[in-house]
Amino acid sequence: MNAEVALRSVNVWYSYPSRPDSVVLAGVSAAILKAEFVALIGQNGSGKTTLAKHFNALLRPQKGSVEVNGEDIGRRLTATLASTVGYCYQNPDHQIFAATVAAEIEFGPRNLGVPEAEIQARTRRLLDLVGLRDEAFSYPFSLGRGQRQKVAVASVLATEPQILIVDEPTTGLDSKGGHAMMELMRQLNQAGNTVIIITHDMSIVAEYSERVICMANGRIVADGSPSSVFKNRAALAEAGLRPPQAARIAQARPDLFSPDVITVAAAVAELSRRSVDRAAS
Amino acid sequence: MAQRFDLYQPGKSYLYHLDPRTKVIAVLAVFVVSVLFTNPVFLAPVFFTVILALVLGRVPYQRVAILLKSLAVLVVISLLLWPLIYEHGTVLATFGPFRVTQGGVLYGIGMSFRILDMVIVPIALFLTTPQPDFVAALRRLGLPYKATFALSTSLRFLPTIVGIGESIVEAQRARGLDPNSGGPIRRLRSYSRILGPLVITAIRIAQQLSLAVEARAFSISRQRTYLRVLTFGRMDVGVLAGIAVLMVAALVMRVLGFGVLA
Amino acid sequence: MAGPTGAGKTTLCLAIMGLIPHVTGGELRGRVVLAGRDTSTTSLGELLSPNDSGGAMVAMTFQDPESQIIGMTVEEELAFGLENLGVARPEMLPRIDEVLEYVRLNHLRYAFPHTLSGGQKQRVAIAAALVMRPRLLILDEPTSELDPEGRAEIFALLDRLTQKREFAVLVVEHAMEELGSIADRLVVLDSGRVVFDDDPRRVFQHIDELREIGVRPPDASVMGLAAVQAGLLGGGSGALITDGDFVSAVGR
Repeated sequence: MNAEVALRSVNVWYSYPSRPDSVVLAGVSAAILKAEFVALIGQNGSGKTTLAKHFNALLRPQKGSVEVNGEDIGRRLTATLASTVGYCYQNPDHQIFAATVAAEIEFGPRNLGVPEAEIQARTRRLLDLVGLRDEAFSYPFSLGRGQRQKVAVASVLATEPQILIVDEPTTGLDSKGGHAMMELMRQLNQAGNTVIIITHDMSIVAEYSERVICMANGRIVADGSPSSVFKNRAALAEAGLRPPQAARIAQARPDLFSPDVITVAAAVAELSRRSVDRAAS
Repeated sequence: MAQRFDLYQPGKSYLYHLDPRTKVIAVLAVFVVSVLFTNPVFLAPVFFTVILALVLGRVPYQRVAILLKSLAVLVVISLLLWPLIYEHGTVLATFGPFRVTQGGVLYGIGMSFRILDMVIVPIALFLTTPQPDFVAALRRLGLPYKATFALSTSLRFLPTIVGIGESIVEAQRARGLDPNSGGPIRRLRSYSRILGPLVITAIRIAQQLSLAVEARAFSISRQRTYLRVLTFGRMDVGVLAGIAVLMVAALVMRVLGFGVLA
Repeated sequence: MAGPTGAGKTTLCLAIMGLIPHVTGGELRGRVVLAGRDTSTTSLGELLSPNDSGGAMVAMTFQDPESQIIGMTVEEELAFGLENLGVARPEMLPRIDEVLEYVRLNHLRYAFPHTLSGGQKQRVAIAAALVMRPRLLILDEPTSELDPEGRAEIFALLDRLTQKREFAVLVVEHAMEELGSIADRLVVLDSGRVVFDDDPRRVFQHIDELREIGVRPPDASVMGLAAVQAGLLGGGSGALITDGDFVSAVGR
């Protein structure tokens, strides 16, 4: 695993201009490594989205600094970071504006002055990646929520950022749609991209992420592997979160499950191993 | 993100105690009088009375300081332009084809007062009246319920739509669109591109909203009742009486030929 | 009620509500009967305020907390339905008081919608439905757009609602583990058809089929089935749903 740091925040403090008395980030320091798959969790208002928006300079810290690939981005414009850090919004309707799916995807690389032939090639690849080849010339708002979400992700990927931040990839999607989206995230991560998802879905966190950063009241209260964070009761209590049911049950029955079980699949596997053991003995 | 398009700030003064209908009527009265007269000798007292009323009413003008500064600029332009357009009476100076006359200068001053009155008074209304009260006043003054419903719903959702617009523009920046590059034409183009999606989103919200309000009996044909009641107090009666007297006086004077520049 | 996107859950709710066909138009075949009245032939006015009772037959809330709240203040939001029904003002206020108490939002009576969290907005929407005194309350995905704190608020409210048993509740949801144990019945829809309609503990026994449809059964049900197959638990007593179910049922 490459130990290079992709994103770093150093003691970042932030309040929104409309409410200067309300501190949203209170000295947040974190380092995210290249090709890591990170889940950023916390209640609304914990600061997770605010922190994420610092990584592509949509917001600037009032104190502290933010680095992307080792470079301080304090003076960089968001637009110039488009090919480095991609940010996908929670609600695709707050991001999509073009008349066709293809136009939406082409928007990013066109802004960056990418040659037309390359733009077309990228668009085709991305349409295939998200499974929207047949909808290339459809009006995005005529598509379902899951498809619009894919359009949003594809349009962010079009500028080929190595680092991808996705806000709530599975909200508003059903079980299958959510998994399809997360498989896409996994695919991108395995191809070497740094992927950060902001999410409320603890099962998704358990199943897909390799590192969890948990925030509450503008601070990081836990940072580690999903299983270690799900065992950190104090932090989760402060954040007002609970581990997924599989993890809760596993923690309550240490006689049946090893301490690192956090997904249904792992729990089922351990139970069937027990049955095999019993059959064997 | 935009919260509300609302100027209202709570405060304590007689203006805050007046029934909103009284205030709306007062605003209309000022409009009528401003239009009746063109002579600044008549318009000036109207203006100063208005200012006196607002100062006594402790209107929180700081909120609209920027607006007032723009207004000042408008007034200066008015003072300079009108004399070049309107000619009457003794000529005071000549600039090429333009003749500045005494009548023109007076007209310009009068227009300035008119602009000041007609802008400041509604602003004062909104600074001292919460939106729900204002909408209720319109309804009680005769606007049909469906119209006031449309108004209050628009006021309610406009910030939401604007917020979505801001979000889309922000997302465009995240995909390489530098909002500061290119001339004003290019920037205008990039803002105009979000109009389509905003309209679509507004229609969507309207569709969802229509289901929600129909589910709460919006369209059933029954006599509607209202939670919000407005009652006139003694102060309102006094103010309305005063306004009535002044309006009659103003109309009489106008009919008799006073207050206009010949 | 559960089911994948596009299964028809919202459409069915709108049909039960009477909004289909009265507001949406379109073609409706078959019948929806509410307390003996056919929704196609009864007017929406009759459904929402039948002359012989003090309340509506049915009321509904929707998934997006933002676009179902029209009001300028919470109090006005709750009054809206009553105003439309022509309820006399003296009767409005106690009804509003009662409902605010119920959803625990008394302290926000005069708040504007933009100051409210997602969970609070949904509670306002539910309150606005409750104030109509419905005999059937329909909640369409009340927690889909909420954070965990907001979801917990809604589940607590639903728990209170079901305990009181004053009226029927139909909730469309994906959160099977929170609601599966308090629901009397679980209806699963797929592609416009009812696939299951039974006690949740019986429905959750069909793990593979549910997954195939795209409904995620509670982890406890899946683990419970695995425990049965591993000989750690006797089968036949219905699927497990809550943490407590599994923790206490599986032998030590």
